[in-house]
Amino acid sequence: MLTISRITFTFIILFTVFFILKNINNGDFRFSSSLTELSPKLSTNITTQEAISKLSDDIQRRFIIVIKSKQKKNIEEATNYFKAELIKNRHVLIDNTESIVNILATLKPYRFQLLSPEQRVDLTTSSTDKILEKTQRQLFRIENSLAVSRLKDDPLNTFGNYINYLLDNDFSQKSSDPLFSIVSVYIKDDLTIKDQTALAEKINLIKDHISSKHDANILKSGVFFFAEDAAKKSESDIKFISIISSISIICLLLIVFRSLLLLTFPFLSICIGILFAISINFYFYGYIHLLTIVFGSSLIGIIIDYSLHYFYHIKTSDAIALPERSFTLSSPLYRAMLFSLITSVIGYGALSFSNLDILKKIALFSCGGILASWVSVITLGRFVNINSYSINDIFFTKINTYFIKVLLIIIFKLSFKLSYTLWALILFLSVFILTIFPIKTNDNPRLFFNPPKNLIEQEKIAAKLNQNFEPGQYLILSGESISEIYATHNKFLAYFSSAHNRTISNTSSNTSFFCPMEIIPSPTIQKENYQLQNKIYEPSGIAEKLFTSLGFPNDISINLFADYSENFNQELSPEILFNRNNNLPPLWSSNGKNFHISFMLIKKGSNLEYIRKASLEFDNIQYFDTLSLSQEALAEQRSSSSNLLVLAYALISVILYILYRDYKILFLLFIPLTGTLFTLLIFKLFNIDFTLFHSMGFFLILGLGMDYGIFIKEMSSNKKTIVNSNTHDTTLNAILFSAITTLFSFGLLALSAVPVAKAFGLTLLIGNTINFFSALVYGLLLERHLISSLTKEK
Amino acid sequence: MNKIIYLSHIKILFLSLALIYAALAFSEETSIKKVNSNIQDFFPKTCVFTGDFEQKKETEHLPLLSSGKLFFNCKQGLIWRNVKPFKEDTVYTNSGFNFRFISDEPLEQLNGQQHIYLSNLLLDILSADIDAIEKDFHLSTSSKNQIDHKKIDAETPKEIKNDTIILIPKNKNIAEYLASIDIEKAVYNKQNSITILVKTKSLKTTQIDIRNIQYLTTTDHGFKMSRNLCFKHLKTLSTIDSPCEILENPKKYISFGSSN
Repeated sequence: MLTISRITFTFIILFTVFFILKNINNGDFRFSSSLTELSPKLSTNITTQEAISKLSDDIQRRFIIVIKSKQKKNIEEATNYFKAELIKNRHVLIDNTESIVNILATLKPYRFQLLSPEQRVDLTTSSTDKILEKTQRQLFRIENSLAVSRLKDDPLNTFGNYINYLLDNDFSQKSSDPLFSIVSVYIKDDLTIKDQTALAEKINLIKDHISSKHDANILKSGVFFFAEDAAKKSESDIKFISIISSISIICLLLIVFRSLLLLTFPFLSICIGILFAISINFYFYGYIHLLTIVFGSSLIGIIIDYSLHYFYHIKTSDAIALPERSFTLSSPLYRAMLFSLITSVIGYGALSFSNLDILKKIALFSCGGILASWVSVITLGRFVNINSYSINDIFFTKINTYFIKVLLIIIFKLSFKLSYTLWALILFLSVFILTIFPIKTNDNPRLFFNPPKNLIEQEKIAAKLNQNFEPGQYLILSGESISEIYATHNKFLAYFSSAHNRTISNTSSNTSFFCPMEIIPSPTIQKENYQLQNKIYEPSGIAEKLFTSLGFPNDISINLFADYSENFNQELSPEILFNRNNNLPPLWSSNGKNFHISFMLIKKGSNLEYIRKASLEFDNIQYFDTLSLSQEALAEQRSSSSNLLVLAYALISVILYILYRDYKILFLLFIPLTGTLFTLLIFKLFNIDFTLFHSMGFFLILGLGMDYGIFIKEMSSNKKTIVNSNTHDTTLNAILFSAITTLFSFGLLALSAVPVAKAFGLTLLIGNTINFFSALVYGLLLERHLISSLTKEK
Repeated sequence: MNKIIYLSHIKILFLSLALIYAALAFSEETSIKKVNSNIQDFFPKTCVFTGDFEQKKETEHLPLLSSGKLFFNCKQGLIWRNVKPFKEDTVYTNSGFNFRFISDEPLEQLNGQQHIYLSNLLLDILSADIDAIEKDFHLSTSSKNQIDHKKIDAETPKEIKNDTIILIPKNKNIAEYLASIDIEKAVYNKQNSITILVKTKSLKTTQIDIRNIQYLTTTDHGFKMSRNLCFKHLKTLSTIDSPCEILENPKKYISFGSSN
């Protein structure tokens, strides 16, 4: 067993050191505070889910600033100042200013495939002479002096006209209200937390300047500001939790063991645990989410337990004085520690069954951290000379023992007649109460982050002024080919407009959406467009006639004609413009083969209920309401996590039974059960809304409750030692320490400003306190039972 | 988003038009300092004027030449009339409705976003809204002496002579296409005239010479005087469907259903 530990330990150290050395040179440690990871997955299809994530990532990169003032002049000055200052930040694009060059460059290779509807009509119905005359007129117009292409490359300005057509259908409306201006900002790089803070601070500085110098007010709108706020909160949480819990644990350890040398071992194990957890997270995900570290910093309270139990018991128990001998399954300490590890890993590992990315990361982080520090304690612990430290009997243990004795007396008095049967009855009663008065649940994803009210207010006003599309509601069209999506789109529009017109009069409905299909012609139309332009580029075609009429030499058109004939096979896939071009929202995705999807954004003011109903008539169209879908997904998560919890209890029961072959061992489960049920009762009593994150906490209540129980069970299982009340006290002391350290960590987490962490921390704070008392009761019952059986033997 | 650049392009052109007028007030003594400190002086103190123009557009080979007339009324809008080689009127009105008028053809309403914006922009510029110009351009003036003396910018075009206003786009993206707009004040047939040079990055230029500028200075009966000037200058006989009539009363000509 020790060999396995050593091998694992070596691996963990090598992995961590190698990883850190490899990445420290690149400075490649990226932290994220993205809010996407707190949102549940909305689709079971991988491509669709990826597309949704990509779209929401794109949304996170965009924010807008509304500048308001009572005077037009102030607005202009303030806007100019804002733009000039913000553009100094190299990570942002303002008003997407660099986009046009990219978009034109992307479209240009397909120019023979692109025509506006008006151009198509012209080329289909007008005579050659008529088109020629129209072109000539256009050439002399004042607006033509800045045409996108040169005359000899695009004599009829077909490409230029197509671009105009796009502009006429541009979905970004501009405000005509002179009392505010809107600056849209696109974050082109992946920002580090530091960059993010710097950008937000810069905006605040500009804001201050503008309000004092230009008498103008700034409204901020965008996920960026929420993420930045969340990052700030997380960062302060991390500092707060890790500093306070470290200091308190150091004090506790110093008081108990009175040895600086010994202090280094628990801390070494914590460091190894945390570093390994960080490395393994970077290894699998490439970055670390700040919330992972918030949860991770509460791990300190759990992994310190291993050292505590280890050093406490090794020192005080005669039976296991020699470390070498103690590392077999027959050793109660080793067995207790192993169980403790297993239950914690089950508790944290259960988080990975969630479909929230963030919980999976927390699960990996925590399990990795726990495992690494456990292995470190086992491997390094034996190098500690047990004579090098002493346990503070006089001061702490005595106080502690008295404290426990007082507690025991209270519990003993209260539970004079307490037996497993009574305990079971109490548990049943709790279940009964909770069934009759079910706890209030809340699955609103907005509860997960707790943005400042003024940010929400700004967001609301700014959205009213700017947003053109329904936030969080859209249609997703899917198909096996690009053409299929176009066909579905056409059918849908036809259906929708007819259905719409039947019921709702005087509304023109065909402008309710924005999607790639409105911008890019379908593959069939693209082929037709190419054919139609034959009229222009054929020998003695319109282009040649035009050049002749202008007096140009004959050879001027040779390259152009060659271009035209070479490009007959081109096809502009919507994906090229709406996924690979960073300047446009990623509204089209595919798996590269036979599955394509396209988003259809819904313009504000549309009849959503109608659109939703219409979408039901089509197999290939899904209506997405992200808020209600998230809510459903979270509710489902919550209920499935309850089932998982039951499963975890069952799993642990089976493991316990296999190892002990005694049904009485199952009474151990009463500890976490009490913790769980009483926590729920307290939530009910204080009317706390029950969320997914509360329910996730119950897995750890199970883990920690089992830890306590197993230690009590193991450390008092030796009948020789049970009569020695000192050993019993030792175990209870260790458990009290362990409870205190855990409570420190989770108590601090309960104070977190991040609602998710707060819910988790609160659950554990309450649940684990009850766990501790239940463990004492269990210890009492166990002792009573053992004494009575000893008496019988005698 | 594409719109922004496009509009800026159009802005540039109409800005040029505005500055034609501005430059009329350009005094001989103007220096950079004076322009910056007293820029309102460049803009109209009167509301109505007419002029003739010649446009020369460089192409890969022969230049494209055209000519015509223009009429501007700050309360109504602008008529830009091409006479050669094609006759057509474009009417940009303050009310946001824009039209193209070709004889023997139905009146075409220009509903494209670019035309609507163009019209709004025109209004801003001709109302001497310097803030709007400076939003998108670095505005400077220059004369031959000053340039020689200071040698300010290697990229400054060499052809600049006499008094010139130079507009350089602030927006990088626009600068990808447009190098500058130079507005020069010159004297032609003993009359003030203005030349606008639109220079693109590919060194293609469009030169618009505006000559024979006439003001309407009367403030009394301005409306009637303006209309008479319009008819007279554009030699329009009929009052029905004439560009002057359209400019005066655009709403009458909005085609049903196609208005925004």
